[in-house]
Amino acid sequence: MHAVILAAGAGRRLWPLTAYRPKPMLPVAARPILAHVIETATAAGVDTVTLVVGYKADRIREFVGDGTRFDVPVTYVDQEHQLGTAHAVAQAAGTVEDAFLVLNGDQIVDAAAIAAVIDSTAEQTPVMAVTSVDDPVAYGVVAVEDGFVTAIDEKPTQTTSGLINAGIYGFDPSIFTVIEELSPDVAGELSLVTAIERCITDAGVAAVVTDGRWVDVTAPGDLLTVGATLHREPAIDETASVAPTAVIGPGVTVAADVRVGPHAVLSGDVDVGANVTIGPQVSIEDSVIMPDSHIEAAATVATSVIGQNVRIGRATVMEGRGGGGVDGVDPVVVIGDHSRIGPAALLEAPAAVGVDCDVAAGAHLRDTVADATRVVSR
Amino acid sequence: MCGIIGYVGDDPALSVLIDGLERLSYRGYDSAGIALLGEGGLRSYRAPGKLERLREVLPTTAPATVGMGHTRWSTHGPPTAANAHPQLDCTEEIAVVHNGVISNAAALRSELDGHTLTSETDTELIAHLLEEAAIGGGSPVSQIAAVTQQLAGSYALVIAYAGDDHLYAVRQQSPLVVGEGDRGSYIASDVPAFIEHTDAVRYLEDGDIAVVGPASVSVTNDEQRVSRSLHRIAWDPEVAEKGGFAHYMLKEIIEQPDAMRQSLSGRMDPSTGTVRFETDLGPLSGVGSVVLVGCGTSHYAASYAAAAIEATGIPAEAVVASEFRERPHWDPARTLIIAVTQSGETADTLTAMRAAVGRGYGTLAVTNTVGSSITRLADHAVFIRAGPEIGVAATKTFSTQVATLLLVGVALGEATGAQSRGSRRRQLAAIDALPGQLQAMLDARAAIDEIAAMAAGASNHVFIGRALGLPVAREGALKLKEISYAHAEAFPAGELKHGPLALVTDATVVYAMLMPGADPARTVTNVKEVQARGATVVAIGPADRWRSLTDWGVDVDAAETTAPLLSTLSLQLIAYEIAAAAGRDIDQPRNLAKSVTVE
Repeated sequence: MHAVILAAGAGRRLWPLTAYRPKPMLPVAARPILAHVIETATAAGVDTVTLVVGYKADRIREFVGDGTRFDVPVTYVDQEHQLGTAHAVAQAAGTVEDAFLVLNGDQIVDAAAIAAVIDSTAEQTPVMAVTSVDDPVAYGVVAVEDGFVTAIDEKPTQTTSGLINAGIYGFDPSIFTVIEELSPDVAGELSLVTAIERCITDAGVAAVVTDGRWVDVTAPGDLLTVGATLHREPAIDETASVAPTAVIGPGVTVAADVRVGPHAVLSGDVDVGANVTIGPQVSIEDSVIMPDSHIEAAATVATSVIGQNVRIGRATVMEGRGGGGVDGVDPVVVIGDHSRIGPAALLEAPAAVGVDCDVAAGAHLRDTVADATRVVSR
Repeated sequence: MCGIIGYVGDDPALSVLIDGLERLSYRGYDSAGIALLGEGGLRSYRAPGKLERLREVLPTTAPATVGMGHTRWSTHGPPTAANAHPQLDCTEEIAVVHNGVISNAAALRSELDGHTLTSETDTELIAHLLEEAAIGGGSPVSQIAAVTQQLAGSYALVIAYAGDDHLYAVRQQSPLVVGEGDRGSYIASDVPAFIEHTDAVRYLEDGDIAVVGPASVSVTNDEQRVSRSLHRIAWDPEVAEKGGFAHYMLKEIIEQPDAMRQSLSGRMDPSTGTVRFETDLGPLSGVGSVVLVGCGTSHYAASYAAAAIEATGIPAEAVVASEFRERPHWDPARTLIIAVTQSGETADTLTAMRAAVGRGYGTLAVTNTVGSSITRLADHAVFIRAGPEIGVAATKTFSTQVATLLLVGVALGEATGAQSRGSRRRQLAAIDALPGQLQAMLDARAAIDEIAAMAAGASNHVFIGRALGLPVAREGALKLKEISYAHAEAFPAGELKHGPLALVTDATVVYAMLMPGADPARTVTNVKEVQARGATVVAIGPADRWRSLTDWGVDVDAAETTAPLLSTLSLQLIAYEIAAAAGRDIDQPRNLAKSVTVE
């Protein structure tokens, strides 16, 4: 079956990590979320893909290409202005002939859930997958009766059901007519949920109740936890070079061409992206490091997310706090792409440094630093 | 430049041939043709211009399961239907497609009596010579061998005879490969032409004549049966697809961080200052000087590397390949000749390399193409591992060529003892930072696009630089002129006032390479000279160098030896955007071919 995968959004809540890449290109288990989405979709029976791209689209085009690396033909449509999920789906009208799936490019779901929607779509459309989560109020709840969606409440004041929209849909091309007749909401956007609400009163919307994995990344700190839910086999790429005296724990994923220096210690859930250099005596725990970054000698990185091409100077200490956030504060240290930190700087959660920053030696930070800022020692 | 595809098999040949020609079209061509060999005999279809014109004269379907196709880039005679290949003999029972140049064509033409020539091509002469040979009888292979003995020059030929369901493939100094698949056999000048059907190929060698049937290939050379080993093509042809980008060139510019990671992968250890290639570089410890030969973009990559190698104390120079034979000789016992060619098939570079081998130099090839002619010619070869490059304008292969050559330089510095361990470590650390720095420059693309929008209206583009900035200035000017057709020239910054300054007006954009360590103060003086004449200056270099000089600049943050290489990316993007704004045929610029296989 054909799948339209929505990958045009900016993901601004994930600043600074999304300053130079769209949210689907954030890494989980040292690979972009979108790679997991496409692989899951093809495993479930998707045989062709349309990618709706917009924000930083070249990053996606460069990575996915024509789909060869996923063994699925991929075509692209541009959503120049991000005017809502229904608007995004409408961009793909020219690439769709029969019934098709819609998936979010930034949510990782179970192949079984996608396969269930494919089966249901063969019988009737539209189809919407729902799943239960611990905190449905944060997502909007879906009421289901006798296998059909009866109501969608996007801003529930109390929990009437434990089910939320899982972001997997089955449509036929008649949905494009429904979308054409929508009026923009107060934000000027066309929402796919609104389009589905229209269908509830017409032919009805089949609900596919799924359980199993449903992963959404809404804050940088989520990148530290979602990798563990994938039940993947942590692995060290064969092109990586690890000093014999380095210690690498069982939850560590190391991508291609990474170098790990003598006496470095990597423990907990750690994802190290391609071409990263980790110096001697560096300690890394429960952190994500994106490609091309350098962690210099004797630095300590704990509960932190480090962007691409970042340089962490010698003996710098990055100390995020583990556990849940308080009052929406992200309990991690985050560094944006191309920034330079230290040497001997101290960054404590919730420190967030933007892209292209230069943080001086010995600086002590625990707050937010805007993009392209030079921070002198303080 | 010219492209060949042949098919003998179970399926109708027409669609295999058209697909093959499409895949060869990136090499550049100005006319095309197809011959089909079926029950109705030999039929040929030819047209000038792009493949769309050929489609207009082709049938939509044809049952023939044997055929060959050709894309031609004119050398002898203009791009007309009559000059397109296949070329036929008088009886129209022998068809020939040909890549290369027959150097004794004039003599052959005067000797051919009683034949009606319908084209200005050297190829047609071969068809008529084959017609003569057929009168004498004997096997087709012996007839072909008799004809090739009369030919001088370079050629890859595919020959079809009416009533014979084989194709005959001949190679002499022009590439030709035979593919063996489940549905038949394939012949091509370049693997991508048939890679969708099979990845099992045999490379023919000079003097080979191959008899290609649907399930059999036999090769003879000098009347002896020979075997050519079967290779599996490891790279994925689909990588060559555009993947959502408007042009291959843009795709190839944007994938440079990946291409660079792939090129450098596993080859160096900055912590020890050592380099390790997966192929043998040969004996380096006795190398006293280095000469790098190449053409066009490869020459600029060679110039960059020569300056970097010379900085370590080993005399090095870059020589344009077509000038190599006229240059005084270096000491063959102490001089390493390095050939730099993306395709490995560049005729000028191959000729220079043959001369170098003949004079007894040690030789090393740096190329992107495994199995190419240059790798068989040189003593040793190193691959840049950039992946296939389809856009005619070289982009990712320039940056990976330079990076690979810099690694070769470190290997030389280590083997000869010319470069200290500390210096090698610094150099490798600088090279190691390139993938991330390339990504940082791509992420800053908005500023580069603004520069391109400003510069798009200029009538004249002048690039200036010093030291390592000079080959990059030259590459920037070449890139801009080859895809946008705008007038673009590069000069050593200090040379500007000795003549070229006369070109500078208020309609001129001057691109100044203000590289770290390259005496920026003097280049700043040159910038002020052109600003005084009304030119707009685009500065490429660390921002604190130019912020007070001009509003138009690209911030380059890298080490002295790699900042100019990194800067090339911004010049590629500026050239691309200017050409795109002008609506140029960016992937196939007029008069140009990806791989120049004639001298």
